[in-house]
Amino acid sequence: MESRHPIDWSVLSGPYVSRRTLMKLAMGTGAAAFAASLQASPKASAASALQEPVTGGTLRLGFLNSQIVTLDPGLLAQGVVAGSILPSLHSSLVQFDTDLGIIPDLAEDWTVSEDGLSYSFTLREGITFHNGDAITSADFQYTFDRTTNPDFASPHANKLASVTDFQTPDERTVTLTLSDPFAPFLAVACTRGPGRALTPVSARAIEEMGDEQFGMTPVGSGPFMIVPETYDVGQGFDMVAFDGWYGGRPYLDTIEVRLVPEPSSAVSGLEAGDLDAIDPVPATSFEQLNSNSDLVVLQQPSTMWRGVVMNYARPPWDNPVARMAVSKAIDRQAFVDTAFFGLATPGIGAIAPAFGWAYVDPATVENPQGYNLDEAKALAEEAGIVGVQPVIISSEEIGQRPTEVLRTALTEIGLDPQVDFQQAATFNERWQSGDFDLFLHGSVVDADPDDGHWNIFHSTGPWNTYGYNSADADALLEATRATSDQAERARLFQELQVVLQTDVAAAFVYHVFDLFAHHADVQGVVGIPEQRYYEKVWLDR
Amino acid sequence: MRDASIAADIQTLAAGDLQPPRSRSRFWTRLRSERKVLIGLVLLGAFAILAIIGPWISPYGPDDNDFGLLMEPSWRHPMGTDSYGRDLFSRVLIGTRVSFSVGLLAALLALAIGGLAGMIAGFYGGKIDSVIMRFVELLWSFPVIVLAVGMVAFFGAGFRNVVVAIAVAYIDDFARIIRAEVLSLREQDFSLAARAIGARDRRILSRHLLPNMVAPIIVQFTFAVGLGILTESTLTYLGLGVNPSTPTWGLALNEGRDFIRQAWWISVFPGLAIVTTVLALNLFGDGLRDALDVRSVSESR
Amino acid sequence: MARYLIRRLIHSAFLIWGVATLVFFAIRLVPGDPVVQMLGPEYTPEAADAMRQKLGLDESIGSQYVKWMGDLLRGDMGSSIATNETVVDAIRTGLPKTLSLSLVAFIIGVGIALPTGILAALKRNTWIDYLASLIAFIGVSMPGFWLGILLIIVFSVNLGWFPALGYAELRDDGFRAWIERLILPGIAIGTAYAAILMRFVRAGLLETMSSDYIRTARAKGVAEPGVIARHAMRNALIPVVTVMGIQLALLLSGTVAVEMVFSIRGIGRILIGAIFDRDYPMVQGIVLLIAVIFVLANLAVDILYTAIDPRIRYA
Repeated sequence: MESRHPIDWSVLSGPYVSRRTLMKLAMGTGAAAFAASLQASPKASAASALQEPVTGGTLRLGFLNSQIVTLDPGLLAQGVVAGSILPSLHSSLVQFDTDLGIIPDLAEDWTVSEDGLSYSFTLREGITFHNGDAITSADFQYTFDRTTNPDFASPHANKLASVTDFQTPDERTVTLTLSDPFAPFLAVACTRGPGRALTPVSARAIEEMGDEQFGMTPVGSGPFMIVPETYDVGQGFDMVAFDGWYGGRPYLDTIEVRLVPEPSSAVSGLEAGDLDAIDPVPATSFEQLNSNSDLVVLQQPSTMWRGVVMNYARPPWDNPVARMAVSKAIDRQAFVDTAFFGLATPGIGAIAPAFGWAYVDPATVENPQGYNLDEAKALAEEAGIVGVQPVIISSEEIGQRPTEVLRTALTEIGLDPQVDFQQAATFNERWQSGDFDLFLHGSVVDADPDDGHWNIFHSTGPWNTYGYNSADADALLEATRATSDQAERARLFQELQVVLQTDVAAAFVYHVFDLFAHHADVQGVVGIPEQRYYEKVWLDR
Repeated sequence: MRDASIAADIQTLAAGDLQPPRSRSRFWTRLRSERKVLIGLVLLGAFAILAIIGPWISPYGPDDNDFGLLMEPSWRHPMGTDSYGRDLFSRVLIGTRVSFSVGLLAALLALAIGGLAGMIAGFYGGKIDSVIMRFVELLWSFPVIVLAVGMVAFFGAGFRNVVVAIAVAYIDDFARIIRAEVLSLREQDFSLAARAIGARDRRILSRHLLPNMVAPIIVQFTFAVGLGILTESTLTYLGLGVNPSTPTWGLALNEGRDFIRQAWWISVFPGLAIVTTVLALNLFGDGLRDALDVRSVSESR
Repeated sequence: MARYLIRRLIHSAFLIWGVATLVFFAIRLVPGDPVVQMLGPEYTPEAADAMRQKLGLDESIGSQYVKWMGDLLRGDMGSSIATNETVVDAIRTGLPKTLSLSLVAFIIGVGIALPTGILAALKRNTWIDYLASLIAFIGVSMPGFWLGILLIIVFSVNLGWFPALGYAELRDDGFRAWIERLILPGIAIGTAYAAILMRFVRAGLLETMSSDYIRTARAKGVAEPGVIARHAMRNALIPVVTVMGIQLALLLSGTVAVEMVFSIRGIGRILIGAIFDRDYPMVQGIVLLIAVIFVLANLAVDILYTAIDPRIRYA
């Protein structure tokens, strides 16, 4: 789709794509509201500003997950691992700053051509993998070939699908060409952590140990290195400082990553002093941890959204009146107060608060699908859905609390929802095959709003399994990809938001906060939504 | 296969003190003197009444949630409110019926299948016995929770599936004990006599053996109900429970886990309800066993 | 005896084979695709097919079974679908944790059961006996995981006596670190075990105390503690040993939920995770392991029983 404005894609060139600069462009849209909230907790930052960092010590990190399936960036599908653990082990071409702007990582500079099709990265000098091998453009070629090899079956190959040409003119230069402009390319394919499609891996290490072993004891280029003998798939592993990291040695000697599947165990472990930090904090324990003066809870807006999608293939949910009844039955503020103890933002759309450049403050706009119980009851009568028993599918990832609160809310308009709580394996199959009436769909740990919109609302989106199909929405989505002007993209996403609200493509409900807790003596924690960079963390002991 | 004599030895010991041989005619006298039975019965009766009338006498609906989150116990809310702002007393009261239903239905199902299998195996012996007991042994080779978790993963969560999973896990207990009973009864005079006068198999089973097995069945059944309630709460804890919106004690416990220090009451009251019920069942079953002087398969796995 | 032993061993082997076969087919009937689970929601059908081929899941169930059995006989249990870790490695890391936990739970169980059982028998029908019985009854009526949570709150968080979670290697971290982390979960599992054992100890002791040879010993003027220690205990313990073995399953069952509470990745937690992930090779391997432990433990108990009780003879 042609944009009305002349497009200059080179605005995405490095060495710094500031969100703040983009914010200025976006000001007219009223999107700035959340910019201010993008900062670390005052308790933490005030303390760290006063003291000189100390080198040494071990951080015992409780990671709330039952297992880390793989640490191979090319294969890792667990979004939370990509945001929380991967950035320590693997550097990539670029990375985020605290404002979700894009700054250099292994590439010291990069340019994007005016037509938005050619990217050229210049690598830093003297960068090495953990095994001491120099990182050159050949390693990126290897990584690109590996990720896009169909036999390798990388879940991230689709992010490189539009790359038609990949070149390494010299040791320090990587160039690539896209078939179509793709605005979020840097964020989704090149960033440290989430953009793992082009995160360089050591060819020699993979040849020596094989793909399977590499997934457990990867040789990367991040500030910390895994200690191979400590790796235990369900228990955790140790990471030690990598002296050869281009940014200098991290302050911590060691990070002990301990997997804690049981949230209350993690909370107890933190309080009892067995753990120095837990990631993420269950909203249910926030109050308890926050009131503990030994602890600091970092609270940030997140990149996630969730809302109720209703299956168009299953009447009466193809009826917009029925969907609107559901949407208007949900008191968003009461919902987040009960389900998350207020640690979430009521949602009006899929643009997450962390994307301040596009986010719309709910207070500033009218929400056509917002809470109104009387109207909801009338609409429910009109659509004839009183007494209907829709099946709500849910899983551990969505959580029992929001599901239960949703069920209770829907009983208010005379529905009798049946919750079908599934294990992850069956849940994924259920929603992917469209076997549900409704569920709390959404997207988590995104590098760009593109992730959470395209996949779910485009008529061909891979996660659009409930049958939403709107020519308007498709056109707007395609337009967001075809421009690099962040202000224009913000405007398009906002226009799309109104379309989605009116269609009730989803009854948008919430964005939970990103919560991270640590002992007060853990200093230098950097607040980037859903990303954890540990190289500047130190212990005041 | 384990020699029946070992089990017999153990079960005699388990039955409590070694006492002079008892006759069943003095059953009622002994039953009355068994304090365990009395205490168990009183508690069970109370719970049974609550299970029946619970939904009518509960002060609030199970889904009413506008009382404030995590409110301490008070006159208005004797057990406080839970993390969704619902009245915990109402939910525990209504949960009585669900928890009992899970335990009872699971035990009944296990009894029906296991009992039939055990009876056929014991009565006919030989090849039939071998085949059936191989299957029973197969079941017995899995710890209960492993079996139940596997079953729920197999069928998916939900009331019916949880009941079936728990039942399957306890089938072998019933099969083994009833088979042992049949084996010993069938060699006794009355059944030999019945056979001698040409009674049919089914008649011997139903008219002669079955009545004599009622006692051990009741004892084992009582324990099984308690174990069923315990297993349900563990399954719920592991995320494989009845239904995330059906108020069971196990679910309440599960929901209280994250709030145990801010709101001890959510974990304590449903937990106490479970412990008291299972305790009542165990006391009743144990007292009954003493009074009836019967053996039963080990209480727990 | 030798013939009996051989027969029992063959029988056990068949039983284990039956378990293995049952699990192999049952897990494949469970809805849920391990490949979809592993690739995450962003998977493409091509990637799923490639993965299926790589894992050999595209072959017929029959040939998968034959292959698995063949590998098994060579000691190869395959690799986890979800994590690439070999099943043997998972067992190697998980089994010591579960065994350590079971051992500590066993010691705690026996440590509680023996003295209280003896005390209850000696003080029969006094308030001590009743109290011990009541506590035993409560012990078997309480969900183990619930007890575990309460223990963490009281002893880790409030009193700070024990670490709240995790596992320490005996070899690398030393005995203290190891035992510290096993005491609370050990109590959580061992309590129900202790409660059952205690009642057997009490009953066994009461029986032997009333038997003829004890009366003879008393008549000969052997002092009461001597009677109990030298004569009564030995005989009372025979059935107790059996019960210990039979109830081993209780310990194993107990570890599943308690490993979750205390965040210890023993075989129970590995198994639960593997079932959730539809990780066929892992589920097969762990269930097989549990069945082997179970069957062998019971075989050992039967043999032990024969050995310590001369009255029992097997044909």
